[in-house]
Amino acid sequence: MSTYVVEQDIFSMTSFGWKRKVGENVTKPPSAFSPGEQLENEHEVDPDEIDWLHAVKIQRAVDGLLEDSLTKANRLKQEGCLLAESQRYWEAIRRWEDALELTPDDATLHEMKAQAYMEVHEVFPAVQAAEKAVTLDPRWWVAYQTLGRTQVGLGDLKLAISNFSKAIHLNPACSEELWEDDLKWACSLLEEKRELERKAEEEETEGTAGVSGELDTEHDDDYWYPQLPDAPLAVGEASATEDTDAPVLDRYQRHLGRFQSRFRTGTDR
Amino acid sequence: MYSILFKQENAHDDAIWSCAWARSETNGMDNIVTGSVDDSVKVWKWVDEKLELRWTLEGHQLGVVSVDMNQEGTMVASSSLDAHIRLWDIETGKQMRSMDAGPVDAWTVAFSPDSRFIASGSHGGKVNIFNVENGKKETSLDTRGKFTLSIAYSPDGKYVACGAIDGIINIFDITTGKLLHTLEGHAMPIRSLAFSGDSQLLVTASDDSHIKIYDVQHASLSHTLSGHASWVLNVSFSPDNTHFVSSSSDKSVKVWDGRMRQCAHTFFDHLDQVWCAEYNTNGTKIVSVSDDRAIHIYDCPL
Repeated sequence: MSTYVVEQDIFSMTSFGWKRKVGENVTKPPSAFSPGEQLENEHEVDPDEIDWLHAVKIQRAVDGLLEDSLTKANRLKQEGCLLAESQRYWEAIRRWEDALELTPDDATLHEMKAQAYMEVHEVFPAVQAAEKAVTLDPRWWVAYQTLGRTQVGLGDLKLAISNFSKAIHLNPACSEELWEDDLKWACSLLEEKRELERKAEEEETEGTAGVSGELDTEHDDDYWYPQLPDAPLAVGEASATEDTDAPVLDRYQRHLGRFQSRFRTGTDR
Repeated sequence: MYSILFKQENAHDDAIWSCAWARSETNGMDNIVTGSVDDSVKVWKWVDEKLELRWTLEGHQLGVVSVDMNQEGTMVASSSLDAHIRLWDIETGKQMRSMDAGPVDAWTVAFSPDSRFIASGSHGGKVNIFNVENGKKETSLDTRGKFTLSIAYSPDGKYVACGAIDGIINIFDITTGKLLHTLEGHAMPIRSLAFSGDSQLLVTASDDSHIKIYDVQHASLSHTLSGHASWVLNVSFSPDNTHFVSSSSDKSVKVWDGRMRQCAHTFFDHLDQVWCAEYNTNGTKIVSVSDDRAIHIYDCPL
């Protein structure tokens, strides 16, 4: 793989342009990008744009890849960033996928794709893209942060906390955002989920036989699996006579919804 | 001959960040302690050329960043991302003390050679020293610098050295609490540093993939070693004062000859970045832990 490209992007992270920040308003007027012009130039390489000064270096690093395909990948990447900034996420994803055809090992492309998939609520592809980014560049804390966020979207809080922790461990002097908005938020969600589960279980045991000894052994499962949308049904069926279950699970769903809407609109919680 | 002796796969449920090895002076047992992002600290017994799990120490709410054992091999100190430092009795597996260092105010922990204190780096660049007896904060050494990532006591008990996220190394005199030297060692985070057994040398490991050796007395750089292809995550000295071991994001563990200033051996056995590698008490074995969740034990000729 072309380590040259990745290294460059780690240390000048602004160069690839787009990292969605929680609480940041990214709405930009659509006029900031006119797709017509960009599309026309897409397949042409202006000889003046080739960086002949660094061509030798790139040639050595990419080892076989044509120089102009790198330029093209870079341009597709930037176009994707512009599209993402104007909230045209599907188009952005398509650009980045085209770029990945040329530079499949560029972790930043996978990471941005993961964010865009989150924006359009495609959680599974988001997780896959983020996992790919982490695999390609295991020292890049941003990839772990994004992976954690996709896992919160999936409801897998324990894994999300693990990945936020890894992000902090790689870059301990990271922004407050990673500590407060990501790690602590996921922890408080997990706490609340356990609390709700305990209550639900208490109510269940009260309703059936009142065996309190089972409580401690049963709720050591910290995962909220993707099939949870089915779980309310299962619990509801088990104790259909009790009215108290519905509000509890409702509240839990609302709570997770709060995170997703926060992510989507970019407004602070 | 250098060789791998033993692999404990899936030693934890997640990446392992830290380890320590010490022989108990009370019963001569070889104990290895590991700390993981899965929130647990595990105590293992090295016996008959294999590891046996003795205790799983639970209590930390977030990933365990650092573990250390005292000289006598009787106590374990561990610190986690939620800034709690916990002290454990190795024979009973019980928690002795828990200290809340405040938000982001504990990173690496290190026992003083006399086992009376624990030093820990912090976000604001201060080095906090806690009393093992009562768990209270005894003193605070101010580097006036950035986040202190790594910390080490000199074995003669005279100095504390610490490494910061911006690559600056500070050396304090413990008795006076004075800052003796500030070395602009690296331009990138220093994730680990270690004194030689005779307290004459200090080695530092940095994200710039280099290892530097300093003469403590004159606070001068004696050599820079290259060889790792990525971040150097940990360094630890052998009791023989000449060799030391380093581990890196390039998935390797390297043994160095400090006198010859060259790499004596490279172990390429882990599948992911290796966060920590430590010598045993007499320098005949090395333990390493990694993101791949495995613990490896290596044989090391004297």
